[in-house]
Amino acid sequence: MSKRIRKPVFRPRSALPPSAACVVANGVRETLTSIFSSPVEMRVFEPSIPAPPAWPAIVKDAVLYRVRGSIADAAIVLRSADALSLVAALFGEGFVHRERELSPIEGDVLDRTVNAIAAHLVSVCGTRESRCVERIGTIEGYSTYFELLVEEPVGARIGIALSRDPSPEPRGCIEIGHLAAVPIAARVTLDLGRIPSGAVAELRPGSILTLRPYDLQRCSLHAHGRSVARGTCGVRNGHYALHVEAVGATT
Amino acid sequence: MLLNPALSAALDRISERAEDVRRAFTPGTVARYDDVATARPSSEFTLDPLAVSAADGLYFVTRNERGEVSYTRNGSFALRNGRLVNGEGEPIRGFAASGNELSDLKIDAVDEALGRASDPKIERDGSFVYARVTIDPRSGLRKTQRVVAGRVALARFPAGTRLATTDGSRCIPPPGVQPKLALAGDANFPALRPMHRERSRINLDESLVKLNDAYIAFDALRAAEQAKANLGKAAMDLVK
Repeated sequence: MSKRIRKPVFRPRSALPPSAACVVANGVRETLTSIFSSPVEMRVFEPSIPAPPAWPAIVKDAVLYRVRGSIADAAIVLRSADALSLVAALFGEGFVHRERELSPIEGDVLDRTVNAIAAHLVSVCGTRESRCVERIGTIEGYSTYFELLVEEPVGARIGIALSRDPSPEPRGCIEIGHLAAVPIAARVTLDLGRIPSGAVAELRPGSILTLRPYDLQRCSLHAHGRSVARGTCGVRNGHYALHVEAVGATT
Repeated sequence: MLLNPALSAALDRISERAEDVRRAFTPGTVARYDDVATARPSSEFTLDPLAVSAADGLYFVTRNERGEVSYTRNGSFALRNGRLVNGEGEPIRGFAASGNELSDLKIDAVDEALGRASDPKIERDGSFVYARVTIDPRSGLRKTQRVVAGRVALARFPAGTRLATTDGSRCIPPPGVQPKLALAGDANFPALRPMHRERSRINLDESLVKLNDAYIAFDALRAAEQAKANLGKAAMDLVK
Protein backbone atom coordinates (compact mmCIF):
# COMPACT_ATOMS: atom_id res chain seq x y z
CA MET A 1 0.00 0.00 0.00
CA SER A 2 2.89 2.33 0.69
CA LYS A 3 3.83 2.10 -2.96
CA ARG A 4 0.66 3.93 -3.95
CA ILE A 5 1.47 7.03 -1.97
CA ARG A 6 4.55 8.98 -2.87
CA LYS A 7 6.56 10.53 -0.11
CA PRO A 8 6.50 14.31 0.00
CA VAL A 9 9.90 15.63 -1.01
CA PHE A 10 11.40 19.00 -1.87
CA ARG A 11 12.74 19.14 -5.38
CA PRO A 12 14.58 21.94 -7.15
CA ARG A 13 12.35 23.44 -9.79
CA SER A 14 13.48 25.17 -12.93
CA ALA A 15 12.59 28.82 -13.31
CA LEU A 16 12.47 28.33 -17.08
CA PRO A 17 8.76 28.62 -17.88
CA PRO A 18 7.20 25.69 -19.73
CA SER A 19 5.93 28.21 -22.26
CA ALA A 20 9.53 28.93 -23.29
CA ALA A 21 10.06 25.21 -23.88
CA CYS A 22 6.79 25.16 -25.86
CA VAL A 23 8.08 27.99 -28.07
CA VAL A 24 11.17 25.92 -28.83
CA ALA A 25 9.04 22.83 -29.45
CA ASN A 26 6.74 24.61 -31.86
CA GLY A 27 9.67 25.95 -33.83
CA VAL A 28 11.38 22.56 -33.94
CA ARG A 29 8.12 20.92 -34.97
CA GLU A 30 7.77 23.30 -37.93
CA THR A 31 11.35 22.70 -38.96
CA LEU A 32 11.03 18.93 -38.74
CA THR A 33 7.73 19.09 -40.61
CA SER A 34 9.47 20.80 -43.51
CA ILE A 35 12.42 18.38 -43.38
CA PHE A 36 10.29 15.23 -43.13
CA SER A 37 7.68 16.59 -45.54
CA SER A 38 5.04 15.15 -43.26
CA PRO A 39 3.21 16.39 -40.17
CA VAL A 40 5.15 16.07 -36.95
CA GLU A 41 3.47 15.40 -33.61
CA MET A 42 5.45 16.63 -30.68
CA ARG A 43 5.11 17.00 -26.94
CA VAL A 44 7.32 18.61 -24.31
CA PHE A 45 8.61 17.47 -20.96
CA GLU A 46 8.59 20.22 -18.38
CA PRO A 47 11.99 21.88 -17.73
CA SER A 48 13.70 20.48 -14.66
CA ILE A 49 16.90 20.79 -12.68
CA PRO A 50 18.46 17.33 -12.84
CA ALA A 51 20.38 16.20 -9.80
CA PRO A 52 24.11 15.69 -10.46
CA PRO A 53 23.77 11.87 -10.58
CA ALA A 54 21.10 12.23 -13.30
CA TRP A 55 23.39 13.86 -15.86
CA PRO A 56 25.36 10.70 -16.69
CA ALA A 57 22.06 8.94 -17.48
CA ILE A 58 20.98 11.87 -19.66
CA VAL A 59 24.15 12.02 -21.76
CA LYS A 60 24.90 8.28 -21.85
CA ASP A 61 25.53 7.17 -25.45
CA ALA A 62 24.28 10.55 -26.66
CA VAL A 63 25.41 12.76 -29.51
CA LEU A 64 25.93 16.24 -28.08
CA TYR A 65 25.88 19.63 -29.76
CA ARG A 66 26.63 22.97 -28.14
CA VAL A 67 24.81 26.14 -29.17
CA ARG A 68 26.25 29.35 -27.79
CA GLY A 69 23.79 32.06 -26.87
CA SER A 70 23.96 35.54 -25.38
CA ILE A 71 22.24 34.52 -22.13
CA ALA A 72 23.34 30.93 -21.78
CA ASP A 73 24.80 28.06 -23.70
CA ALA A 74 22.46 25.32 -24.83
CA ALA A 75 23.29 21.72 -25.58
CA ILE A 76 21.23 19.48 -27.82
CA VAL A 77 21.30 15.93 -26.50
CA LEU A 78 20.40 13.16 -28.91
CA ARG A 79 20.65 9.63 -27.60
CA SER A 80 22.15 7.35 -30.20
CA ALA A 81 18.91 5.43 -30.70
CA ASP A 82 16.99 8.68 -31.15
CA ALA A 83 19.62 10.04 -33.55
CA LEU A 84 19.36 6.85 -35.61
CA SER A 85 15.58 7.06 -35.63
CA LEU A 86 15.61 10.67 -36.80
CA VAL A 87 18.13 10.04 -39.54
CA ALA A 88 16.35 6.88 -40.66
CA ALA A 89 13.12 8.81 -40.94
CA LEU A 90 14.88 11.46 -42.99
CA PHE A 91 16.06 8.77 -45.38
CA GLY A 92 12.59 7.27 -45.43
CA GLU A 93 13.69 4.06 -43.77
CA GLY A 94 11.16 2.24 -41.66
CA PHE A 95 13.21 -0.28 -39.70
CA VAL A 96 16.00 1.05 -37.53
CA HIS A 97 18.73 -1.09 -36.06
CA ARG A 98 19.21 0.82 -32.84
CA GLU A 99 22.55 -0.67 -31.83
CA ARG A 100 24.76 0.52 -34.68
CA GLU A 101 26.68 3.76 -35.08
CA LEU A 102 25.88 6.55 -37.50
CA SER A 103 27.57 6.35 -40.87
CA PRO A 104 29.50 9.47 -42.02
CA ILE A 105 26.66 10.44 -44.33
CA GLU A 106 24.11 9.96 -41.59
CA GLY A 107 26.30 11.98 -39.24
CA ASP A 108 26.42 14.83 -41.71
CA VAL A 109 22.65 14.74 -42.17
CA LEU A 110 22.20 14.76 -38.43
CA ASP A 111 24.55 17.76 -38.09
CA ARG A 112 22.50 19.69 -40.62
CA THR A 113 19.23 18.74 -38.92
CA VAL A 114 20.55 19.85 -35.54
CA ASN A 115 21.78 23.08 -37.09
CA ALA A 116 18.25 23.75 -38.30
CA ILE A 117 16.79 22.87 -34.91
CA ALA A 118 19.28 25.09 -33.09
CA ALA A 119 17.79 28.18 -34.71
CA HIS A 120 14.80 27.84 -32.38
CA LEU A 121 16.77 27.95 -29.16
CA VAL A 122 16.81 31.75 -29.14
CA SER A 123 13.97 31.92 -26.64
CA VAL A 124 15.94 29.96 -24.05
CA CYS A 125 19.56 30.93 -24.62
CA GLY A 126 19.45 34.33 -26.33
CA THR A 127 20.64 35.46 -29.71
CA ARG A 128 24.09 35.71 -31.18
CA GLU A 129 25.10 37.33 -34.42
CA SER A 130 26.73 34.18 -35.65
CA ARG A 131 24.94 31.00 -34.69
CA CYS A 132 27.57 28.47 -33.72
CA VAL A 133 26.60 24.81 -33.41
CA GLU A 134 29.42 22.43 -32.63
CA ARG A 135 29.53 18.77 -31.79
CA ILE A 136 31.05 18.19 -28.35
CA GLY A 137 32.09 15.15 -26.40
CA THR A 138 30.63 15.97 -23.02
CA ILE A 139 28.71 18.65 -21.18
CA GLU A 140 29.62 19.95 -17.78
CA GLY A 141 28.13 22.58 -15.56
CA TYR A 142 24.74 22.56 -17.21
CA SER A 143 21.77 23.11 -14.93
CA THR A 144 18.45 22.96 -16.76
CA TYR A 145 17.09 20.21 -18.95
CA PHE A 146 13.96 19.60 -20.93
CA GLU A 147 13.03 17.25 -23.73
CA LEU A 148 11.02 17.40 -26.91
CA LEU A 149 9.20 14.16 -27.53
CA VAL A 150 8.68 13.49 -31.24
CA GLU A 151 5.75 11.11 -31.60
CA GLU A 152 5.05 11.17 -35.33
CA PRO A 153 6.27 10.28 -37.94
CA VAL A 154 9.04 8.76 -35.82
CA GLY A 155 9.49 8.20 -32.13
CA ALA A 156 12.48 10.09 -30.78
CA ARG A 157 13.48 12.49 -28.08
CA ILE A 158 15.49 15.68 -28.46
CA GLY A 159 17.01 16.86 -25.21
CA ILE A 160 17.88 20.49 -24.55
CA ALA A 161 20.27 21.35 -21.73
CA LEU A 162 20.95 24.91 -20.62
CA SER A 163 24.08 26.13 -18.89
CA ARG A 164 22.12 28.34 -16.52
CA ASP A 165 18.63 28.47 -15.19
CA PRO A 166 16.86 31.83 -15.52
CA SER A 167 16.89 33.87 -12.35
CA PRO A 168 13.40 33.97 -10.87
CA GLU A 169 11.91 37.45 -10.89
CA PRO A 170 11.08 38.81 -7.42
CA ARG A 171 7.35 39.18 -7.13
CA GLY A 172 5.35 40.45 -4.18
CA CYS A 173 2.88 37.72 -3.58
CA ILE A 174 1.15 39.39 -0.59
CA GLU A 175 0.00 42.99 -0.73
CA ILE A 176 -0.50 45.10 2.37
CA GLY A 177 -4.24 45.02 1.74
CA HIS A 178 -4.26 41.26 2.33
CA LEU A 179 -3.20 41.91 5.93
CA ALA A 180 -6.01 44.37 6.69
CA ALA A 181 -8.22 41.80 8.38
CA VAL A 182 -5.51 40.46 10.70
CA PRO A 183 -6.50 41.32 14.32
CA ILE A 184 -3.79 42.95 16.41
CA ALA A 185 -3.72 43.93 20.10
CA ALA A 186 -4.09 47.71 20.57
CA ARG A 187 -3.86 49.81 23.71
CA VAL A 188 -4.62 53.48 24.39
CA THR A 189 -2.70 55.07 27.28
CA LEU A 190 -3.24 58.34 29.04
CA ASP A 191 -0.25 60.33 30.28
CA LEU A 192 -1.29 62.00 33.54
CA GLY A 193 1.98 63.79 34.01
CA ARG A 194 2.72 64.39 37.68
CA ILE A 195 0.23 63.72 40.48
CA PRO A 196 0.77 63.92 44.23
CA SER A 197 2.19 60.73 45.72
CA GLY A 198 -0.41 60.94 48.45
CA ALA A 199 -3.17 60.63 45.89
CA VAL A 200 -1.56 57.40 44.63
CA ALA A 201 -1.10 56.10 48.19
CA GLU A 202 -4.76 56.69 49.02
CA LEU A 203 -6.04 54.75 46.01
CA ARG A 204 -8.50 52.08 47.05
CA PRO A 205 -11.13 50.12 45.17
CA GLY A 206 -13.90 52.62 44.57
CA SER A 207 -11.60 55.65 44.63
CA ILE A 208 -12.03 58.26 41.91
CA LEU A 209 -9.01 59.98 40.39
CA THR A 210 -10.03 63.21 38.80
CA LEU A 211 -8.53 63.93 35.37
CA ARG A 212 -7.76 67.42 34.21
CA PRO A 213 -9.06 68.35 30.73
CA TYR A 214 -5.59 68.79 29.25
CA ASP A 215 -4.63 65.27 30.47
CA LEU A 216 -7.00 63.89 27.86
CA GLN A 217 -4.92 65.56 25.17
CA ARG A 218 -1.95 63.29 25.92
CA CYS A 219 -3.37 59.97 24.77
CA SER A 220 -1.23 57.47 22.82
CA LEU A 221 -2.28 54.45 20.78
CA HIS A 222 0.10 51.46 21.02
CA ALA A 223 0.01 48.21 19.05
CA HIS A 224 2.29 45.33 19.96
CA GLY A 225 4.65 47.68 21.83
CA ARG A 226 4.91 50.21 19.02
CA SER A 227 3.48 53.70 19.36
CA VAL A 228 1.15 54.13 16.44
CA ALA A 229 -0.63 57.46 16.98
CA ARG A 230 -1.10 60.29 19.42
CA GLY A 231 -4.18 62.43 20.06
CA THR A 232 -6.98 63.48 22.40
CA CYS A 233 -9.32 61.08 24.16
CA GLY A 234 -12.93 61.97 24.65
CA VAL A 235 -16.50 61.11 23.75
CA ARG A 236 -17.87 61.44 20.22
CA ASN A 237 -21.44 60.61 19.29
CA GLY A 238 -21.91 58.65 22.46
CA HIS A 239 -18.72 56.55 22.01
CA TYR A 240 -15.40 56.85 23.72
CA ALA A 241 -12.98 57.93 21.00
CA LEU A 242 -9.45 58.96 20.19
CA HIS A 243 -9.01 62.00 17.99
CA VAL A 244 -5.72 61.29 16.18
CA GLU A 245 -3.46 64.33 15.94
CA ALA A 246 -0.19 62.68 14.94
CA VAL A 247 0.62 59.30 13.37
CA GLY A 248 3.81 57.38 13.87
CA ALA A 249 6.29 57.00 16.68
CA THR A 250 5.70 59.53 19.45
CA THR A 251 7.78 60.34 22.45
CA MET B 1 26.90 -36.94 22.58
CA LEU B 2 28.21 -38.26 19.27
CA LEU B 3 25.61 -38.35 16.54
CA ASN B 4 25.15 -41.50 14.60
CA PRO B 5 23.93 -41.40 10.98
CA ALA B 6 20.31 -42.09 11.98
CA LEU B 7 20.23 -39.15 14.38
CA SER B 8 21.98 -36.94 11.87
CA ALA B 9 19.38 -37.86 9.23
CA ALA B 10 16.60 -37.13 11.71
CA LEU B 11 18.06 -33.69 12.37
CA ASP B 12 18.28 -33.06 8.64
CA ARG B 13 14.59 -33.95 8.32
CA ILE B 14 13.76 -31.44 11.07
CA SER B 15 15.75 -28.80 9.25
CA GLU B 16 14.02 -29.58 5.95
CA ARG B 17 10.57 -29.61 7.51
CA ALA B 18 11.32 -26.30 9.25
CA GLU B 19 12.38 -24.88 5.90
CA ASP B 20 9.05 -25.90 4.41
CA VAL B 21 7.29 -24.08 7.27
CA ARG B 22 9.33 -20.94 6.58
CA ARG B 23 8.62 -21.17 2.86
CA ALA B 24 4.91 -21.22 3.59
CA PHE B 25 5.14 -17.47 4.21
CA THR B 26 6.82 -16.63 0.89
CA PRO B 27 4.54 -16.09 -2.11
CA GLY B 28 4.77 -18.65 -4.87
CA THR B 29 7.20 -20.97 -3.17
CA VAL B 30 7.05 -24.75 -3.59
CA ALA B 31 7.53 -27.33 -0.88
CA ARG B 32 10.54 -29.60 -0.54
CA TYR B 33 8.19 -32.47 0.37
CA ASP B 34 5.12 -33.09 -1.74
CA ASP B 35 3.12 -34.29 1.27
CA VAL B 36 2.70 -30.67 2.43
CA ALA B 37 2.06 -29.17 -1.01
CA THR B 38 -1.33 -27.70 -1.89
CA ALA B 39 -3.28 -29.21 -4.73
CA ARG B 40 -3.37 -26.09 -6.89
CA PRO B 41 -2.09 -22.51 -6.75
CA SER B 42 -4.18 -19.76 -5.22
CA SER B 43 -3.74 -16.04 -4.94
CA GLU B 44 -5.07 -13.18 -2.86
CA PHE B 45 -5.91 -9.59 -3.73
CA THR B 46 -3.36 -6.95 -2.84
CA LEU B 47 -3.17 -3.20 -3.35
CA ASP B 48 0.33 -3.53 -4.74
CA PRO B 49 0.13 -2.71 -8.49
CA LEU B 50 3.43 -4.49 -9.07
CA ALA B 51 2.14 -7.78 -7.67
CA VAL B 52 0.88 -10.25 -10.21
CA SER B 53 0.09 -13.93 -10.29
CA ALA B 54 0.41 -16.31 -13.21
CA ALA B 55 -1.68 -19.32 -14.16
CA ASP B 56 -0.63 -22.77 -12.99
CA GLY B 57 2.47 -24.08 -14.71
CA LEU B 58 3.78 -20.67 -15.77
CA TYR B 59 6.93 -19.11 -14.36
CA PHE B 60 8.48 -15.66 -14.41
CA VAL B 61 12.04 -15.46 -15.69
CA THR B 62 14.79 -13.89 -13.63
CA ARG B 63 18.57 -13.94 -13.44
CA ASN B 64 21.16 -13.40 -10.76
CA GLU B 65 24.19 -11.11 -10.85
CA ARG B 66 26.21 -13.86 -12.53
CA GLY B 67 23.67 -14.01 -15.34
CA GLU B 68 22.34 -17.42 -14.33
CA VAL B 69 18.70 -17.69 -15.33
CA SER B 70 16.15 -19.11 -12.94
CA TYR B 71 12.36 -19.29 -12.87
CA THR B 72 9.95 -18.26 -10.17
CA ARG B 73 6.26 -18.15 -9.47
CA ASN B 74 6.69 -15.32 -7.00
CA GLY B 75 5.12 -12.36 -8.76
CA SER B 76 5.62 -9.89 -5.93
CA PHE B 77 7.77 -7.48 -7.86
CA ALA B 78 9.24 -4.15 -6.90
CA LEU B 79 10.95 -1.25 -8.60
CA ARG B 80 14.59 -0.68 -7.72
CA ASN B 81 16.57 2.04 -9.53
CA GLY B 82 14.03 1.91 -12.33
CA ARG B 83 14.42 -1.85 -12.72
CA LEU B 84 11.66 -4.39 -12.15
CA VAL B 85 13.00 -6.88 -9.62
CA ASN B 86 11.72 -9.80 -7.59
CA GLY B 87 11.79 -10.09 -3.82
CA GLU B 88 15.48 -10.99 -3.86
CA GLY B 89 16.33 -7.90 -5.92
CA GLU B 90 17.02 -9.90 -9.08
CA PRO B 91 15.84 -8.39 -12.37
CA ILE B 92 12.72 -9.71 -14.02
CA ARG B 93 13.19 -10.59 -17.65
CA GLY B 94 10.87 -9.67 -20.45
CA PHE B 95 10.64 -8.16 -23.86
CA ALA B 96 11.38 -4.44 -23.97
CA ALA B 97 9.05 -2.23 -25.97
CA SER B 98 11.89 -1.36 -28.34
CA GLY B 99 13.25 -4.85 -28.87
CA ASN B 100 12.42 -8.48 -29.45
CA GLU B 101 15.12 -10.01 -27.30
CA LEU B 102 14.77 -11.13 -23.71
CA SER B 103 16.15 -8.42 -21.45
CA ASP B 104 15.77 -6.89 -18.00
CA LEU B 105 12.61 -4.83 -17.75
CA LYS B 106 13.31 -1.26 -16.74
CA ILE B 107 11.97 2.24 -16.95
CA ASP B 108 13.59 4.58 -19.47
CA ALA B 109 16.88 5.73 -17.94
CA VAL B 110 16.21 9.44 -18.41
CA ASP B 111 12.65 9.20 -17.12
CA GLU B 112 14.00 7.41 -14.07
CA ALA B 113 16.88 9.84 -13.55
CA LEU B 114 14.58 12.85 -13.75
CA GLY B 115 11.87 11.32 -11.57
CA ARG B 116 9.26 11.54 -14.31
CA ALA B 117 7.96 8.00 -14.00
CA SER B 118 5.03 7.47 -11.69
CA ASP B 119 2.38 4.83 -10.98
CA PRO B 120 4.26 1.80 -12.25
CA LYS B 121 2.10 -1.29 -12.63
CA ILE B 122 1.77 -4.59 -14.42
CA GLU B 123 -1.28 -5.24 -16.55
CA ARG B 124 -3.13 -8.40 -17.56
CA ASP B 125 -1.07 -8.93 -20.70
CA GLY B 126 2.15 -8.59 -18.70
CA SER B 127 2.79 -5.01 -19.82
CA PHE B 128 5.04 -3.18 -17.40
CA VAL B 129 3.72 0.36 -17.66
CA TYR B 130 4.22 3.69 -15.95
CA ALA B 131 2.86 7.20 -16.33
CA ARG B 132 4.59 10.46 -17.16
CA VAL B 133 3.32 13.98 -17.73
CA THR B 134 3.94 15.82 -20.99
CA ILE B 135 2.83 19.18 -22.32
CA ASP B 136 1.20 19.89 -25.65
CA PRO B 137 3.32 22.77 -26.99
CA ARG B 138 0.42 24.22 -28.97
CA SER B 139 -2.14 24.41 -26.20
CA GLY B 140 0.09 24.22 -23.16
CA LEU B 141 -2.17 21.52 -21.73
CA ARG B 142 -0.64 18.78 -19.63
CA LYS B 143 -1.44 15.16 -20.34
CA THR B 144 -0.51 11.99 -18.53
CA GLN B 145 1.00 9.48 -20.92
CA ARG B 146 0.93 5.73 -20.44
CA VAL B 147 4.33 4.35 -21.29
CA VAL B 148 4.90 0.64 -21.88
CA ALA B 149 8.44 -0.23 -20.80
CA GLY B 150 8.05 -3.85 -21.89
CA ARG B 151 6.19 -7.08 -21.26
CA VAL B 152 6.96 -9.66 -18.66
CA ALA B 153 8.10 -12.98 -20.15
CA LEU B 154 6.49 -16.22 -19.03
CA ALA B 155 8.03 -19.67 -19.19
CA ARG B 156 6.26 -23.00 -19.48
CA PHE B 157 8.11 -26.31 -19.13
CA PRO B 158 7.23 -29.62 -20.76
CA ALA B 159 4.68 -31.58 -18.77
CA GLY B 160 6.20 -33.64 -15.99
CA THR B 161 9.34 -31.54 -15.69
CA ARG B 162 10.60 -31.59 -12.13
CA LEU B 163 12.28 -28.25 -11.31
CA ALA B 164 15.05 -28.12 -8.75
CA THR B 165 15.01 -25.40 -6.14
CA THR B 166 17.23 -24.38 -3.27
CA ASP B 167 15.03 -21.81 -1.62
CA GLY B 168 11.60 -22.85 -2.86
CA SER B 169 11.24 -19.68 -4.91
CA ARG B 170 13.90 -19.82 -7.62
CA CYS B 171 13.58 -22.94 -9.72
CA ILE B 172 16.01 -24.43 -12.23
CA PRO B 173 15.05 -27.02 -14.86
CA PRO B 174 17.00 -30.25 -15.32
CA PRO B 175 19.88 -30.04 -17.80
CA GLY B 176 18.72 -30.08 -21.37
CA VAL B 177 15.18 -28.95 -20.65
CA GLN B 178 14.32 -25.63 -22.23
CA PRO B 179 11.09 -23.80 -21.43
CA LYS B 180 8.79 -22.28 -23.97
CA LEU B 181 8.83 -18.51 -23.59
CA ALA B 182 5.84 -16.38 -24.44
CA LEU B 183 3.81 -13.42 -23.29
CA ALA B 184 0.64 -13.44 -21.25
CA GLY B 185 -2.35 -13.64 -23.52
CA ASP B 186 -0.29 -14.96 -26.44
CA ALA B 187 0.08 -18.51 -27.74
CA ASN B 188 -2.21 -20.24 -25.25
CA PHE B 189 -0.57 -18.46 -22.32
CA PRO B 190 -3.38 -17.21 -20.05
CA ALA B 191 -3.49 -13.59 -18.93
CA LEU B 192 -1.95 -12.57 -15.63
CA ARG B 193 -3.93 -11.51 -12.57
CA PRO B 194 -2.77 -8.01 -11.68
CA MET B 195 -2.82 -6.89 -8.05
CA HIS B 196 -2.85 -10.49 -6.90
CA ARG B 197 -0.18 -12.18 -4.86
CA GLU B 198 0.17 -15.91 -5.17
CA ARG B 199 0.08 -17.77 -1.93
CA SER B 200 2.73 -20.29 -1.08
CA ARG B 201 2.12 -23.79 -2.47
CA ILE B 202 2.69 -25.14 1.04
CA ASN B 203 -0.06 -26.09 3.45
CA LEU B 204 1.07 -24.40 6.64
CA ASP B 205 -0.94 -26.61 9.02
CA GLU B 206 0.26 -29.78 7.36
CA SER B 207 3.87 -28.59 7.32
CA LEU B 208 3.68 -27.82 11.07
CA VAL B 209 2.32 -31.30 11.73
CA LYS B 210 5.13 -32.82 9.69
CA LEU B 211 7.67 -30.69 11.55
CA ASN B 212 6.26 -31.94 14.83
CA ASP B 213 6.46 -35.52 13.53
CA ALA B 214 10.10 -34.96 12.65
CA TYR B 215 10.81 -33.74 16.18
CA ILE B 216 9.00 -36.76 17.65
CA ALA B 217 10.96 -39.10 15.40
CA PHE B 218 14.18 -37.45 16.48
CA ASP B 219 13.23 -37.74 20.18
CA ALA B 220 12.35 -41.41 19.71
CA LEU B 221 15.65 -42.12 17.99
CA ARG B 222 17.56 -40.25 20.65
CA ALA B 223 15.74 -42.20 23.38
CA ALA B 224 16.53 -45.45 21.59
CA GLU B 225 20.16 -44.47 21.29
CA GLN B 226 20.23 -43.55 24.95
CA ALA B 227 18.66 -46.88 25.92
CA LYS B 228 21.12 -48.68 23.71
CA ALA B 229 24.00 -46.87 25.37
CA ASN B 230 22.64 -47.63 28.84
CA LEU B 231 22.22 -51.29 27.94
CA GLY B 232 25.81 -51.50 26.76
CA LYS B 233 27.05 -49.81 29.91
CA ALA B 234 25.03 -52.22 32.12
CA ALA B 235 26.42 -55.21 30.19
CA MET B 236 29.96 -53.94 30.67
CA ASP B 237 29.35 -53.45 34.40
CA LEU B 238 28.10 -57.08 34.68
CA VAL B 239 31.08 -58.38 32.81
CA LYS B 240 33.44 -56.50 35.13
